[in-house]
Amino acid sequence: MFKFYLVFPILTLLLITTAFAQTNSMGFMTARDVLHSDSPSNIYLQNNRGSTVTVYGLYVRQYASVEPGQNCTAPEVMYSGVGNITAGAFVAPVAINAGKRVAIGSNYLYNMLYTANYYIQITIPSSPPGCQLPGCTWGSDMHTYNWCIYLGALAPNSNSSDYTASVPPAADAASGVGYNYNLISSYGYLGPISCDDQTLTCTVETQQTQAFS
Amino acid sequence: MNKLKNSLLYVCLGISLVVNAQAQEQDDSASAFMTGRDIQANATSNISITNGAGQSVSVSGLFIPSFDATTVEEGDCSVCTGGIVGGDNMGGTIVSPVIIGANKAAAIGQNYLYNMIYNGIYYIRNTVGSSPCQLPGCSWPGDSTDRRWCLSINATSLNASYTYSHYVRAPNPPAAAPAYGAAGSSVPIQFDYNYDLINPNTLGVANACLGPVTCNDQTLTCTVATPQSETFQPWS
Repeated sequence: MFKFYLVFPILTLLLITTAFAQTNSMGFMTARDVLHSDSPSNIYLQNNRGSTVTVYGLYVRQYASVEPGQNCTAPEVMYSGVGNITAGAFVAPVAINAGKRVAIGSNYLYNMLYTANYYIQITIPSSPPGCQLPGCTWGSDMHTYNWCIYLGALAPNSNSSDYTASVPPAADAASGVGYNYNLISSYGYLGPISCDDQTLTCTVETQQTQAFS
Repeated sequence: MNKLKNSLLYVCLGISLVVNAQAQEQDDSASAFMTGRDIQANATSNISITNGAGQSVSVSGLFIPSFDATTVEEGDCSVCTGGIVGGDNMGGTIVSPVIIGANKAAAIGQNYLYNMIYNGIYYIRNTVGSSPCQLPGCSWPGDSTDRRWCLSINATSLNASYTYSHYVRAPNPPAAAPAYGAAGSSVPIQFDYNYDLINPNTLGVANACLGPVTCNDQTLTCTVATPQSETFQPWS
């Protein structure tokens, strides 16, 4: 009879542990994202290659704004992907299996936009107006925007002997003479992204995926 | 009937214990400045933030007010002077809500710390304009490969018991953290706010100067050799 009593707790343990593992897969996440896996950003990165790829970081390749309620068909560009700059980079090694996609956490995404704003303010202050904070609630933010971005993904594609790091420096070019860290070759806007400066999260309403192949 | 009651009691107890254990695990993760990679690898940098304030405090993020560099040979981080950059500006910020219990310490993950330094270097390059290294691990071409970092780290919060912000812009309440690169606190002349949990005047002197920090640009991690902590407490 005693064995019978043990079966239930052990079974319960297995079920809960399994559920926890399933709902907390480690994509591009902060600890906050892992604990709140029920509130993802709804943005994913997908590996369309035939083998597992380790992605070493994400960045905001192109950053544009729209009025709340508008879609991302014709946003106002704050900086263009033509510059190939890794603004808003948040780096962490994440292995993505062939044909699979991984989630980007809503707090992880917030941090990307948070630092990309700094790049704009310092490097291209003459760009179209954006916000100091992703949610546009800093004191000098006079207007609320939503965001449309090209999502960049980093991993060494080809290196010269001089470039042995897994990622380039923050806000430097993602590719240059002798190196290439860009995994993605074809970009489409993700968004509109809305952000909350209280919870430090950014989300899109429905699931959207950027793929690399 | 009694057997059935006993069976149910054991089952409920088992479930309670397991759920409690699971909740405890989540609390541990919640109390840490970690990326998913850090949690998965259970990889702490050996640096932590200690809550000496006597009650639970909600922290919204960390930043690096001062950067110094030492050499591998000297390995001296006894004092942080802000030799590369100093002040109360939020370079190297990562924002993420973490609750730290009274007299508890929250670990900083290896990859989390790497990202702080990675962004902090960009902040340096746009303020004083010169960093001995372009990447935290000093492996970018032209980097001074023998350098290691000495840091002070501050924490931000809107907890009114220890910080304050009068910066209200109706209809929005104050944000959970200042903008990247802004000051951690600002006197009434401009915005009149204070998000700093640690008095900036004590950082690196009365509070710990952290390091030497060694980073790896292949694994995107940073560590110190022995446990070190930065402590916040009520401002005096």
